[in-house]
Amino acid sequence: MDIFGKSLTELRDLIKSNKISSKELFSYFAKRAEKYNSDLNAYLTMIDFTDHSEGDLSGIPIAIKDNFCTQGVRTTASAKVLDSFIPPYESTVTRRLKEAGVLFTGKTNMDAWAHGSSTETSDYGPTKNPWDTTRAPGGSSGGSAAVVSSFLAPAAIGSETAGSIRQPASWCGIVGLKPTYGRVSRYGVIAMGSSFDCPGPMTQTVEDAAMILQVIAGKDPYDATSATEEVPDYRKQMTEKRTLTFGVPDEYMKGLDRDVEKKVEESLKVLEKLGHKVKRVSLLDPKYSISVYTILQRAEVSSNLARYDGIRYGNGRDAFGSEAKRRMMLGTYTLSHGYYDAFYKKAQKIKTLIIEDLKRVFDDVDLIVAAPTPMTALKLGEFEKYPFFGETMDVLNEAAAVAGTPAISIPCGLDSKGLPVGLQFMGNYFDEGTILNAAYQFEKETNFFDVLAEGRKKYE
Amino acid sequence: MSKTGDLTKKDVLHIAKLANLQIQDANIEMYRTQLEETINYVENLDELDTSNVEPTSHSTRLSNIYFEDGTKNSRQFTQKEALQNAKSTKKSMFVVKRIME
Repeated sequence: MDIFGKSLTELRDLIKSNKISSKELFSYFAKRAEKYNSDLNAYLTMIDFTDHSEGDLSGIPIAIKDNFCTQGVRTTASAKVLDSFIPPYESTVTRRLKEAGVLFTGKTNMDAWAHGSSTETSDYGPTKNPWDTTRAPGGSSGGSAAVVSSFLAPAAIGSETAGSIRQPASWCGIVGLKPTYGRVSRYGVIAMGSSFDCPGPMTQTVEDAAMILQVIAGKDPYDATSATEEVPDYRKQMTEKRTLTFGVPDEYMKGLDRDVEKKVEESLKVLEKLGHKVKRVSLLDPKYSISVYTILQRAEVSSNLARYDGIRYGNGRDAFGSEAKRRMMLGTYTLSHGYYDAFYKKAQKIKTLIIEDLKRVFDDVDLIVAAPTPMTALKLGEFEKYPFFGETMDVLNEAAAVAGTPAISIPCGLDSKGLPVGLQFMGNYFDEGTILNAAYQFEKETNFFDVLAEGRKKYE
Repeated sequence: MSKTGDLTKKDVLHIAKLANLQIQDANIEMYRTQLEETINYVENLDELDTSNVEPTSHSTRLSNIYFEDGTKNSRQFTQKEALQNAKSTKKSMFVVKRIME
């Protein structure tokens, strides 16, 4: 049977109608990984086939970013500090997936501790972008984006602190959804910025993202910050006939690569053609989100990484790479005596301003539309040219990250180099349904310009 | 230490000590420059007036989340599980460096 390029939804139907067994499907992806992973370095650890539960996603193979604790399976967050760490417990996200019948193909490469936007800070070497293996896949969920893009898994789980789902999804031509902060439990996710971290799906289609979110969303007693709001039926919300108002922030259309700008403009035309209203809006300059994010996230990193002492598990603190050290030191500095008010508290106050700013715009529009990142995939090593590389790549992602609002990146065409360009929809708190609805309408209208089929031809 | 980005090598070593990190002499200047660069950047926040603004920690303002009394904690590890990743154990305990004479 020809499995290549089938969505998670299609594979689910094939399994449900017994056209393929979960074991056959699993071995199909295992063989593909065996063939292509040595080149892409997208998986760090492969997982063997096991029995699975019966549920909504029975027998569906999914790849998991290596910062989710998987019981009995090595989990490193791509950091040598955790080189030999075998978690004695399961993260809530992976537990919920297992209960829904999912099988894990393997653990995917990422920037070490999720510190980065290119997967090049991984202690296990960079992941290559399947579109062009001389380029980076983006990050930090670069391994997850690459396995979906090259079809080494039909879908993957990523996590985002600021852009780590949306930016690699955009650079690899796939769908990446960052849910509202607290919508998905962080329990068992190796903590980076605890007030930002959001697990989310990275998929080939919008429906696949909705289906995975349905399984992983919801209150978790083991994550006190997880949201108590009821989880709606996302696929129902996705398919409702709706006419929406989109806001395009002027401040987010500046400094874009020309091809990216052109594709976003063309996408706005598609939205108008679908009968939606598109209007210009104004948001706080994203440079302030960068600063708030930098201060709060570094502070949280310095606190979260303080636990790695090599006594209870893992290696000692000399095993940290320079990026982690740099972040811990900045966080330690801003939290130190006499500086807390000037940095941390100030940043928390501006976080309030950013939230109010977004809420003001959401009084007027259903969704905000922008590019997820100002450029398409850069060459490996090119990040060294940018002093604020991660922040520059994620400048358009940081407002939603700081505010904790949801957003999606979907493919919207190719640039002049033949690389995928992403489009971002940002929504109000807990309004994943509207985001999915708009993304699904866009997908139905354009089939994402067949971007993904084009990019993975050589992996057929 | 001053806020205006004139970090010294001594500051860098002090921060590294607080963070329990070993920094090689050859790298002190690199970290000093990078930290200074970042601190200078984030000072753009001073352009915004926050005199009447409350700080936000949890973005959707959740607070006071408790377990019900008597909730069974199924997260609890067995001693074996808790120790399974430790490099050095003795009599089912973690071995740590002596901190008092």
